Amino acid sequence: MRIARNGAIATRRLLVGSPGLGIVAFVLWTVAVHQANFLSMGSLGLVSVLGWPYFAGLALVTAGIALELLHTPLRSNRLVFLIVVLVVFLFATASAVEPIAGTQSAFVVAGFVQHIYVHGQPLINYDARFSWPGSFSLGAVLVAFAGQTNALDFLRWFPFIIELLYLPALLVIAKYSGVGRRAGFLGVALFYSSNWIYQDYFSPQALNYLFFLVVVASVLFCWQPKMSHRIRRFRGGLLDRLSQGRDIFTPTRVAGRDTVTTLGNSVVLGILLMLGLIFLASAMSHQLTPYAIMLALAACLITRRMGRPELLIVASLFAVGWLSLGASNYWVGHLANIFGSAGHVVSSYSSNVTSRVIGSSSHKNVVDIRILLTAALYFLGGVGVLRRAPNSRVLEILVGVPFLLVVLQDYGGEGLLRVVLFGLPFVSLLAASAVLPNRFGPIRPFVPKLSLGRFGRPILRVLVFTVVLAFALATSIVRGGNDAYEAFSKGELAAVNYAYDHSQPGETVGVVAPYLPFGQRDITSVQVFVASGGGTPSAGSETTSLLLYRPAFIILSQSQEAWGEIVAGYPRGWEGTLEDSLVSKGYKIVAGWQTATVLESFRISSVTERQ
Amino acid sequence: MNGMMAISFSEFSSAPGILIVLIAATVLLVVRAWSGTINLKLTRPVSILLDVVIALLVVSFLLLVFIRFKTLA
Repeated sequence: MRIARNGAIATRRLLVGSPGLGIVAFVLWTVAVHQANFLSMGSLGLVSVLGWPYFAGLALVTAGIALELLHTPLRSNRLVFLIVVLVVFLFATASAVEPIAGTQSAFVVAGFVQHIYVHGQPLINYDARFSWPGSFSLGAVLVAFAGQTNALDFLRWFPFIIELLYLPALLVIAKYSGVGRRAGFLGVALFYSSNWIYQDYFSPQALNYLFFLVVVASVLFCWQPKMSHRIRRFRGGLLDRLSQGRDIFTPTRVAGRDTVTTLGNSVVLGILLMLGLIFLASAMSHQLTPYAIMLALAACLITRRMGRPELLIVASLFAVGWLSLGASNYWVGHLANIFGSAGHVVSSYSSNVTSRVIGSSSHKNVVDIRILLTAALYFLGGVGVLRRAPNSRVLEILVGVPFLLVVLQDYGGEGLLRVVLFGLPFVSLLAASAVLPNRFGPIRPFVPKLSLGRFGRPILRVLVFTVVLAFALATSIVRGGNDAYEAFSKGELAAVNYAYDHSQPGETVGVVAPYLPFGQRDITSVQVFVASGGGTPSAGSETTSLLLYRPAFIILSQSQEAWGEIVAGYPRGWEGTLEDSLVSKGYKIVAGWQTATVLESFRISSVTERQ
Repeated sequence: MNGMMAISFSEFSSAPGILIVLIAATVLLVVRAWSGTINLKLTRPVSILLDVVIALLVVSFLLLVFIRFKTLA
């Protein structure tokens, strides 16, 4: 009887307290995605088809996090549950609403996986990404293991799954990074709430980001900073702070002897072995992440958070070794592509930021919100740096070192996005320290303690709720902000498959813009011609391009039409005009769906029929 | 003589040459990390020898990679 009553009380507490908010929020999310109509998506993208239940649910789960975060004692399990619900809101919504997986790049990756699955080896001199084939090979193994014939089934829910896989590593980083436990959970919530950077689609970089997080988490878990005499004497004056910097490059620091570990030898050896394997896997799977790992390890070493400098050297040897030997097909003949822009910070900034602020007003708003969101997070992180009293400045250095990637290496227009992504877990923890700073570390904070009086806890609850909700709302808007043209319908996939099925080897399929699910099959036999060439040509020039190249098939679709109107600034209904023009110049419509049309070159089809 | 030197550098900077240096450096680094982790007390001469050989191998590796880049790029 007593057991039953206790069970009832526990159930009531669960439903009334913050977990109840999470459960109600999840129900509201289910309603929101059930009601959303993908085909009515407007220029604001995914958020334009989400109704009030989504936003109400997001507010509820954020309120739950704010309540639970300031609860004494801290209940970790409940916070983890609420963060998982937050991840569902931010990263599972697109997968639930959109019938086909997000970006076109994911389909290209699926095509690479398909090639290795069929031929057993990467394709030489086809695409630079094949010079780092580790992830594609793993994908092919998974395809075979799951009894599939291609990787398309993995694409749709991959962003949600990989973001959930990041969670354990993020929790370890938060726990052992020197911030308080509450700030740690808030930092993880802020990481997800501000992760608008769409690099978690089915791709090598998404997997390698997991490697990156696991490496940093393992190192922070293994080693803690040793208290030195200098730090005990440290009083926080500017000259003292500057003189502290001289310790960074002392032999003991570089040799890793300024650290202590509480783990047994066998545990440390096991972790070292695992890290070695991860370095090897990362070196052969991605162009950029191994170097981000090297920089992160160097940051941990100089801030007394890594006790074995051999890790840094092994990671560097593997990364440079693979570039030199395994990826030679990529750099032979054009080494400048890798290092040519070293030091060209202004041009990198231009290609990463200013060139993206184009298109219609709604698209510009989305890009502006992305920049503002990132700037706000870094501003909060700066406040956190001033307020916290840490045991080492590892987080500050981990936020700063990824910027060296842009200075040293050319990674095209996405380099700065990756820099922000590699610094995001750490700047989120610093931003959390702005609200809930750790005041008990040996390094004194830059600013004195701010007292909130007896209303401190309610004020902090409101502050946490406001900050997390603001970031989560902004991310909800901007993360799916391109989905009007980056998400695809079943009709578009069917149109692409029709073109593949009917193309002869060596023939070309033409599209106006690269916003179609092509590339997932037949990568060696069927080429795709993109009339816009990756840029934004003036209205009408795409017709000239297509007619000059004259591909065997041309696919016109809803996504490309949205791209023309939102990004390129084409007039409404431009695709209909293009279709009429193509029909009058020797193309005929051979297949159509609600969201896509396939046109075939009349001359080529006539020749085929004669043969 | 210069021609012979150029040929030998070119040979060393071939894939097997770089791979051998890479593996040698990695093995010695593993030994160093293992001995440091289990608190195995190496005598000072052995410790210095280990560090010097690792440093030489790493420098050789970087030099060979640089030559390979210059030769093939």
